[in-house]
Amino acid sequence: MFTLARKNGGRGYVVVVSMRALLQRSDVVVGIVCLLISVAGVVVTWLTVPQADRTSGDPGPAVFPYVILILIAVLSVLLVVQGYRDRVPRRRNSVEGSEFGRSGTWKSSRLARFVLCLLLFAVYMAGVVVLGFYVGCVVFLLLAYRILNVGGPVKVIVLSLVSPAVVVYIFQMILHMPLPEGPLGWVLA
Amino acid sequence: MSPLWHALTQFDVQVGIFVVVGVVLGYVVGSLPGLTGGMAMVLLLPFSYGMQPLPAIALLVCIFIGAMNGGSLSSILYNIPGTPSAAATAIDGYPAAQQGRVGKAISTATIASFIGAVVSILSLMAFAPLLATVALEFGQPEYFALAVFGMSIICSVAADSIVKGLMAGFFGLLISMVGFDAITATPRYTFGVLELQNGISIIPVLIGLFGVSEILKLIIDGPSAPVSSDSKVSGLEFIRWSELKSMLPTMLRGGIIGTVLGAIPGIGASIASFVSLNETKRVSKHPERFGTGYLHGVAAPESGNNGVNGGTMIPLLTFGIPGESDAAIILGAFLIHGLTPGPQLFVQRPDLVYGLFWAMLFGAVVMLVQGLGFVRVFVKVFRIPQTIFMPIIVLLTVVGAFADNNTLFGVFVMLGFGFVGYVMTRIKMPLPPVILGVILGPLMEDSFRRAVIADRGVAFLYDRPITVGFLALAGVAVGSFMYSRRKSRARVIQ
Repeated sequence: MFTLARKNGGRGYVVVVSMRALLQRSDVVVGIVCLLISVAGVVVTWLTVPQADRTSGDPGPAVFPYVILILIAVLSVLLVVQGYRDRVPRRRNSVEGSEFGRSGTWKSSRLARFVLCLLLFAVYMAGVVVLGFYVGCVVFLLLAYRILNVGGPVKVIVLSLVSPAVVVYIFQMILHMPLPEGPLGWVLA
Repeated sequence: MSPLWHALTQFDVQVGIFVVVGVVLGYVVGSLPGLTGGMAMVLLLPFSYGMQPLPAIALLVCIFIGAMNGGSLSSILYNIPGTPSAAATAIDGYPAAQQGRVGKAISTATIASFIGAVVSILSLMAFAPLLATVALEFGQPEYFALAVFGMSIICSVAADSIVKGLMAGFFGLLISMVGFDAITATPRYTFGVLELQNGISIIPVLIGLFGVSEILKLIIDGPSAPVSSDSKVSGLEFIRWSELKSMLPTMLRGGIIGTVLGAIPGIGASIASFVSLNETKRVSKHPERFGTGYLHGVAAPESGNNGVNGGTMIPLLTFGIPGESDAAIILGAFLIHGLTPGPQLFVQRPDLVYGLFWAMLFGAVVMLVQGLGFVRVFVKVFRIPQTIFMPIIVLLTVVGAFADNNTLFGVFVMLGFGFVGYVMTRIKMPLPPVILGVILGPLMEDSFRRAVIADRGVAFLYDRPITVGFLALAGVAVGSFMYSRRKSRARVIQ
């Protein structure tokens, strides 16, 4: 992953980082990301959480977050070291191996589906916020069943219309639980 | 005739009907992700005004009992804990279902819940005043030590990597720090967002991490392999007598742990289920089987969280102290009927107190019969293709997250944690430690700071026997886990 190479002029060395090798060790990536998160956390805590008022003897509201963030940072470094050391996946006999470890990187199809999910849930939430729970759910189910190739259009439409209706009936009509209505929800209610 | 037996003669059909209604309703609500027994109790509290005290209180208590067991159902079938206390059940319950042992997993959970509940109710009948006195010995240092002990459980539920498990647990602790801090009311990590000031509720975090991430897994990775049609793994098999016999000590231990922890105000069923799982794994001859669909891993948390049923009632009935939010609702029902729980209640209304004990016991039997009776139905539900059922589960998760405090913010939090949960699953970072951290965070921080303020130092860490005991237990738990892990690794290498 890290290799020493001579500089162009032959004087001195540079460290070459192989991104491919880096990505093949998921724990290294995870460790680095978590380390960055913990450092960012320390900075945010420093900037936003007041320090202790020693008069009461209270350790203060910032102490626990600092301790936790430092522990996360230490564990992150440990994970990076572990990930680098384990050139082969640690447990070949484990029930499931690390997805990163197995396939190197996320396949592009998986990444595309991940983005698709993000879009799907964004549409769902926009639907619920603007048009209310029922319509948002119908739109979500239509799209989700289409993505999951559940069956013919009639089946998809029936499932998408009936399931949210049953949920609304049980929770709103019988149990009198409030559900998100949205500014335009009343039009379609 | 002793008051206990006299109360049994007063137990009538009306009470019996409300017990059955309570258990069934609690079971249904508990099995729906995000909806808790507490919500159902609050919804029914106004109806109890017009009822006699015993049926009214029995109805609410039995919702509590039913919901505790119902939470395991969605944990086992879909890896989505119906209630926070069922999060530990998913660790082994879901893999068991995936292996086609749905019937075994559900029957194990039901029987373990029954045994845990019976142990705790019998303890409530026999030792209520004694246990209440011990529980009230708990001061802030003891709570802190108990929280540390709780965190040591991470080693046990960390699956492949302890480092990743600990990191997940610490992230959970960090999530619990969002909002006003309990001592000085200082806002932390709220970034001016009003909804964050009260902190991040555990319900959307739980549903997101476990529920939404499962749905994302389904869409992104495709459905998991269907359950085999082979009769041996058809899912309809019940737990065998020999298996039950081998799990009895686990279930009894869970019941006792749940009773003791339930009696301590503020601890609750979630911690009891994880502690029970941890202790079972620690004393097990096969710790490596946990997390792979091992039925002991279902029995331990379920008996632990149902052991809380009776435990929670101990401080409530003996001192009028509600140990958790559900107990506070039950206290409300007592007060509505002009009854003040406490030592005097045992003297003034023994018929009611002992009648309630019998109602709880009957509720546990109803829970057993109902759970075992419907195993075949649950197995059939499990056979509905994931691609059809999971998107509908999304609707229920949104209802659950919204119902938490009737704002869409909870739904956004749930979806955010859904994506976090998916990424964590892919990088093999275990999810249960996050929940453990969120649950234990406030207890750990508040009790530590209060203890430091009261003691003007940290001497409480070594001069209070219960505190030292729990800290030592935490050390033993971590040490023994590391030792057994090292041993099993050496065995694998050989």
